[in-house]
Amino acid sequence: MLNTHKSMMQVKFSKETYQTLASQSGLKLDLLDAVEMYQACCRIRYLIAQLTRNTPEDIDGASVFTFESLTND
Amino acid sequence: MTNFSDDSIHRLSIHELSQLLQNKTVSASELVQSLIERIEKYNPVFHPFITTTFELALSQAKDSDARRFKARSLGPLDGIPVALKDAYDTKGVKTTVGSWLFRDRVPVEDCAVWERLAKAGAILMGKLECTEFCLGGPSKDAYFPMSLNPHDKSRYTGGSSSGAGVALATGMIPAAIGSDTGGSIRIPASFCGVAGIKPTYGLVSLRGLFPLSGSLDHAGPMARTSRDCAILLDEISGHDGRHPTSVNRSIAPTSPALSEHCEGLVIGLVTNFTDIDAVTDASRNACLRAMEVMTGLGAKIKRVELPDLWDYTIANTTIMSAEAYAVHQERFASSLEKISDLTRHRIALGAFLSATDYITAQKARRLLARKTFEIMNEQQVDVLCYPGMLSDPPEIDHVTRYYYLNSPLITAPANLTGAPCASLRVGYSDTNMPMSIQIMGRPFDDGTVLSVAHAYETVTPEFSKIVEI
Repeated sequence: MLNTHKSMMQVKFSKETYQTLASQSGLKLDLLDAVEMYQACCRIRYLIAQLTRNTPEDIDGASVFTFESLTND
Repeated sequence: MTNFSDDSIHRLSIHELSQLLQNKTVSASELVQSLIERIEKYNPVFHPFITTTFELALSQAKDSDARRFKARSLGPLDGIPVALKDAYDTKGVKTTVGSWLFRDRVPVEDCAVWERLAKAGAILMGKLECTEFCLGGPSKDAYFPMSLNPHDKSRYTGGSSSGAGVALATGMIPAAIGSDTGGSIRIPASFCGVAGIKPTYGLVSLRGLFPLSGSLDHAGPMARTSRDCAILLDEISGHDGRHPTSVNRSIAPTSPALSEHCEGLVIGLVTNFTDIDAVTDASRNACLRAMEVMTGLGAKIKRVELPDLWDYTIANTTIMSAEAYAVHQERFASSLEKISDLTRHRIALGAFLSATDYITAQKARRLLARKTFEIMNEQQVDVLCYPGMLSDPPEIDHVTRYYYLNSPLITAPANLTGAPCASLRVGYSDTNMPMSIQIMGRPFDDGTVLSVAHAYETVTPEFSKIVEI
């Protein structure tokens, strides 16, 4: 078990998690590297979830940012 | 022309040097020779240059002097020495993007920015160190030596336009071009104590700039004063039909419109960026003192609140990580061991982001941009101000791989919204490190941003000096 971040609950860090991190990242990770990366991934997930909650409005053509899209908004 | 022997030429701004060149007090060749000597003396100490182009510079200086002799000067940048962040392609001149993988890469075409500067008569002194692939360092194991902060070599210069910040702060050059995806112009400008502006998105062509994150990348000037940034911006901005992000919209030249006061302007002090715990008392107080100076210059200060700084931060980080991983995925798989530790770990985070995450961040980006400009309109403010950095530059040894996930990124709002944003020096901390504020304007109102910064600098010239070394 490890604390992913002070704002996150404790999660289980399994051998499978370690293997997934290593294969998906493409990096050679020792255990400490893997834990650090896992904490970073959890932190990003938490912040994206928070962002989703804070920006609930729907918007068309959301994936493209141009100043034209801004002025059309 | 006179033999210019004054030891202080490296302290002068572009504006001052341009006047000396125009009235033939100094020649471009003398100026270049003087700076070559300074670079040769101090580059081994602070490492801002990866490549120098002295032979080319002396030849360009000779051409510039010949033009002036015939009264055919090309304008304020004719004869002014400039250096480019080493992520900008320069024909026939090595462009490494700070990486071992590109250590011998020689582009066959110039980037758009250098095309414009060369046309204006600027002189290329060389290519400036940037953190590998423009991701923030500091990487002790990078192939090229790290630039060192002349205010305190144990502290980070900020990245990724680190060489630009150092070369300007030490008087090696008067003008530089950096790039900014999450703060890479404004962070080194702030930590090294120089001026810089991230212009409106699309105003300066990105053609020939190695991408970190195409939808967030901005090309922009760095110098020792905001007036100099305006002079540079006027030359490098403009539509480029050869790059898809370049906007077909011009702005009025910014340098002739600079004002020495702020009469009639309303500045929005962003309270929820200034009052958060992550901002040190010193940074907060420096920002508040700067507002008092602005008031003295005639500005009206209003307190405004923008969306949560973390929302801008994570939207920016998600987009940047996903786009950077897309840029590097193939290279990453084949040459992993040749990439520095920090860079490969930071790029790898992009592998864990989904398409949904990316779309979520882009959607949030539009919503946050819309809200930001709605608030500016509702509150009737011309520009927004908030601290340049949360704190003093950290000790190099204290910067961890994912430090940027622990504190909000106070430079992110301007990248995410595409709004112009300048870094302006406003004093020194208790540890004698430079402190700054950011001034952010509406898209395409880069002129007002620079004008406010210039007005402040006219009454605080002590902050525009180079570091005594």
